[in-house]
This record gives sequence, structure tokens and C-alpha cells, in this order.
Amino acid sequence: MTFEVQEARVLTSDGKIVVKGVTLSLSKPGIYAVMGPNGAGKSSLVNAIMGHQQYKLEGRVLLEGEDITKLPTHERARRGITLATQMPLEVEGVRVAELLSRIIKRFRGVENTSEALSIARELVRLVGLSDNILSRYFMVGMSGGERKRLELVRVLAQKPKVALLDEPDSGVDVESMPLVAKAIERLRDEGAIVLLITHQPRLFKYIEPNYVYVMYDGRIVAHGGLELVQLIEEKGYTWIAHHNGGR
Amino acid sequence: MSRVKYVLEDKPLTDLSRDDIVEFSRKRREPEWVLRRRLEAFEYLKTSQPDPKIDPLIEKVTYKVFIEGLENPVLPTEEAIKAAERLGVKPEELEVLASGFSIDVDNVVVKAVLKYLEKRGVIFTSMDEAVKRYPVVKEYAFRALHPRLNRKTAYHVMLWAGGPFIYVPKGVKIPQPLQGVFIIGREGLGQTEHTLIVLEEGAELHWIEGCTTPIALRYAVHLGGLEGFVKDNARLYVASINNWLGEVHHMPVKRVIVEGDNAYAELTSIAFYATTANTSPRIDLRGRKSRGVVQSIALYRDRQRVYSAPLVRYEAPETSAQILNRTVVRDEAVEEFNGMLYAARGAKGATGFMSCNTLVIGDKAKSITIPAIGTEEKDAELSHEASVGRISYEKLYYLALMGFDEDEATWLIVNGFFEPVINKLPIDVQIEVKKILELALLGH
Repeated sequence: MTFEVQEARVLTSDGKIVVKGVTLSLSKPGIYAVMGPNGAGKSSLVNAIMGHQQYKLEGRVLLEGEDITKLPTHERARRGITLATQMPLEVEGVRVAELLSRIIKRFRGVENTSEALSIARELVRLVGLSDNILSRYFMVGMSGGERKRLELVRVLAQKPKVALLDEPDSGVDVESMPLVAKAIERLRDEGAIVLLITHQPRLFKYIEPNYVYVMYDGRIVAHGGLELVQLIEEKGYTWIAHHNGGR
Repeated sequence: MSRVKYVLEDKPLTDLSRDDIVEFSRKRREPEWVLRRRLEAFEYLKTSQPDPKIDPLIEKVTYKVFIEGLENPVLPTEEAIKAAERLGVKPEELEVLASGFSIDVDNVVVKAVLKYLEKRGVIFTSMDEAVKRYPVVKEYAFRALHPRLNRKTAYHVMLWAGGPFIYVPKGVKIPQPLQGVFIIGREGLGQTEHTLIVLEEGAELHWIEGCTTPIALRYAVHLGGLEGFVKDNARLYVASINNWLGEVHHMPVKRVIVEGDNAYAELTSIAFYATTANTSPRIDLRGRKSRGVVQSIALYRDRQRVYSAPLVRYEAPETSAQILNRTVVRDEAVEEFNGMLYAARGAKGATGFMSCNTLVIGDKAKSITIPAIGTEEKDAELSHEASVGRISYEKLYYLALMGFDEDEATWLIVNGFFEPVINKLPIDVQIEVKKILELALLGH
């Protein structure tokens, strides 16, 4: 499994450059944290990788050697890369069970609906959601924490090769944080490269990233091990950016 | 000989003479009272102003084509079976069907069901037979859909043929839905079926009717009619599922009179792809504390035009009703919605709610929504809401992240949009409707 981002520059539809040349080359399943302050370009990068029309991506994104940069979003997803969005949307009138079972059938090669539902049930339980959520409409009327966890369930259902997680810890209460961590570990254990975007290190109480990247003003300014997280807590992003710490 | 000439002559249906109507009725060996109703309708059409939404469409059909259509029912051909499947009807159920002209029953299970119903006094037969055999029909037929109600109804009464008569006696609740399929198998005025339902006190019936065509037609008009009478504590559920191919103009007439106290009637319409649709389902609430629901989901595309004007008229105290309308228009389709809740004098304490929601897909599709509320009673509480929405890019992107392409995502969103209406239907109907919807969105 290889996932490469080569010299990615991301422009918004009004021409503003929000990512100024990012290169990543990942070849082993694991949790790769991308940390940075608000406005560093983290969300823009992952949305551009997935082909959001608001962003123009210059450079290349390779999944197992295939350039997916020109593919429509659904084709990228079908090839095994997806994004847990920061703010999952409501899909009115479509029940969680229906959506998850369609996803599971497509991505996990399950033909039988009851088998798909039993996988869905196992996944919602993994993140501490009750089975009742399956009969609710997708994301409709759910709390912020429920949405975040359900979004991870959705990503898990896809059994991705690459999972881009855009702040899966934001809006999650302290008690739910270990459950979010569990879902991320499960992704890794199922063989995914997890690109975990966050701007605060509290999730790392529960999971240890294999590697940490620091993004600042559209660039990767530092990368290293868990010690970088410690440095972020002590000195802050701006200090690291200016001292190129961790490299 | 001149009578034969009328049949063969290619004159528009709008130009029929009184003699044509007499001839038509005689050939069908109808009782005099039926002919009188037809002639009343004929006279009304002669004396009222043409309706630009109705007459030009009927004018295109000739008497010859109409008669040929009646004389050549299509069930149960291979094509008809396929067409019925498009309505979610399984082949083994097809024999249940009341076609426009007769009820074809060979299936053992169906025979057993009919026998069971018969033992309990239920009448389930074709209207063609019923007008001749059952005096009770005369008491009710063309009373809700009376010949002078409006031009559309008048055309229907003048030209009706076939359809079922269902009579459910006091206290009989029919556990399984009864089902009929009406198929337009030829060009022209393919269906003018008349459905008459009478529920006595405490009776209960689910009636599901499906209308479709086995092949894409160059031109056809559906002018079916349904009238119902619901007595004290009775409950009537009607679901009409229409899925058309080709140039079909769908203009059914429906009216249910809820005569009894605490009685309930529900008219659900599920319509896909008529070239034009002109629907005006109506419920009249005449029993104290009676309730009614008129709900519809519809999907239109290309340059299709849909005009819907559901009406609930309250005439008794403490009555309540809902009108729920959910329509999707795509391409260059246009929807016009003129629903109305009207509390007449005597409807003290009436309550009601009308909700009209449209989902517009594409830049050229349009929706014009004008809900109306009227009351002659001060304490009636009637309200409405309307919304027109579009499918956002963000929603399509979000579903694309899950691997759904645009068509699949649109199907999911549309399906979800219809859900509030679909989820109230009996579970087997829900499954059928979802299948049809999926087929319809894939373009048959």
C-alpha cells in the first residue's frame, strides 16, 4: 500500500493559494498525524485530495501508484480513499442502516443485507453508539459527538486503504474521546493509512501516532515522532514554524 | 348500420353526439340509470366552458381509438406482466388484478381470499358487472364524482368503462390490501376505469391501484376515477401508484366522502413520469371527528408538466385533515401546486395542516406553489407550509466520499425526500414503492 502526495499546491476558487507545496509519501498502515493551527491549510489539503470542486489541486496524488488527481470524487472513494469530514451532513429521510448497508455491500463485498447490517451494528457499538441509531435518519438531529462517531463508523464501513480524518476529535466530549480513538485504531488495524488532522493533541492520550507532521501557513514545517507533540504543547505552532523544530 | 358507422368514424371524443353516448351505453348493456348519468355529463360538457388544461388533450383522442382500446384489453400478456412488475406487482399476484374490464382469477390463493371475503359479505367485482347486478351501486355511483362536478369529472362519467366495485359490510376489516392494476395497452384514451368503494360502519380496507403502460406510447390519456364512501368508524386507505412510459396525460378524478363519525380516509398518490399530470384528489369530511389525509409523492422530468390541486373540505365539527405533497422536478419539468383546505360552515373546531415541499434538480426545472386556506368558521385552525429546495453540491460531494456517483446520490436524496410519505404506507407497499422509485430514477 502506498499513498503519495507530490508537491501539492491548493488554490481556492477565488485564486488564493492555501497549500503551498506539500509532499507526503506513506507506505505502511499506521496513524499519521497532521497538526497545525486553524487556517494552516489542513482541511483544504484533504478536501483537495478528495476532489472538492472549491479547490484546485496542482501536483499529484498517487494511490498505489495510480494518479487519482483527475478522477471524480466517487471514483477516488471507490479506489479506497475517503475523508471523514469535519462537519458531517444530514441525509434526510435515509436511515443509518440503509446507508451503511449500501456502503458495506459495496466496499466489503457483502451481498446479504442482514450480514451487512450485522457489520454495521458491530461498528456502531465499537464507537459506543446504541443500536437504535441504525433506525434514525443519517445525522439528522444528532449531537455533535454522535455525528463525529457516526462519521467514523461510515469511514470504517468503507474499509479504506487511506482514511483522511479531518478533526475527528473536535466537538467530542471527554468520555467519547477513547471511543473515537478506538475507531481510529480499528482503521489502522484493518490496514489503512490514517491521515489524522487535528490541531490539539488531546487525542494522543489514547492513541499514539506513528508519525507527526506540522503544517503551518500551507506548508509542512516540521515532522517527527511523538516528541513533536510535546513540543507543540510547550512552544506552540508559531514557535515551531519559526524554528523549524523537529526536523 | 349507422351505429356501426359511429364506432368506426374517426371523430374526436370532444365531438361525440348524444346518439354516440346512447349507443355506447347500449352496447355495454347498461341499465338506464347509468345512461342517464352519462347523458347528464354529456349535457354538462355541452353547456360549460372548455377547460384549457383538459379539453385539448381529450380532443386528440378519437372515438374509434377509444372503442378499440376498450375492446382489446391487454391482460395478461407478457408485456402487461412486465408493466405490472414496474408497479411492484409480482407475476404470481398478477392474476389478482382487476383489469379495466374484468377480474381475472385463476390463482388458487387469490380464489381462496376472494371466497373468504365473499363469505363475509364483501363484494369485489368489476363495475361493468356491478351496475347490472347490485342495487347498492346505484345508491352510490357518481354521487361523489357526479357528472356536473367539473369538466374532467364529466368526461370521466361520460366515458367510464371497467374498474372495480368494492363493498365492505359493517365491521369487516380486510387484513391484506386489495390490489388492482390498470394498464393502458394502446394509444388513445387508454383508461377510464371507475373505482367505487363503499365502507360500512367499522369496516376497513386498503386499496392499492397501479396504473401503467406496457410500452412507451405515442399518445394516451388516463382519465380514471375513484369515488369512496366511508361510514362511522370505518377506515379507508387508498394508494395509487402510477408509472408511465411515452406520452401519457394523467388526469384522474378522485373524491372520497367521509360520511361517518370518527371515520378516516387516506388518499396517497405516487406518480412518476406522466407527460402532463392534472390531479385533484378531494376528501369531504362530513362526519363528526372524521379525519382525512391527502398525500402525494411525484417525480417528473424532461418537459413534463404537473398540476396538482388536492382539496379537503370540512363540513362537520371537530374534523381534521392533512395535505402532504412532495414533488421532485428535474430537467425542464414544471410543477404547479394549488392545494386547499376549506372549512365550510358547520366545521367548528376543524384543524388541518398542509405541507408542500418541492425538490428541484437542475437549473431549468420549476415549481410554483400556491397553497390556499379558507374558512367559514372562526375557530377552525388551518395552517400550511411550503418549501422549494435544491440538491446542493456539498451534499453530492459528501455522498461521493462514500462512493456514490451523482445518480446514486440523487436517488438517495430523492428517496429520503419522499420518505415522510412513504414510511406511512403499509410495509409491503413501501418496499414496492422504493423499488419503483429506483427503477424510475434509472429511467425505467
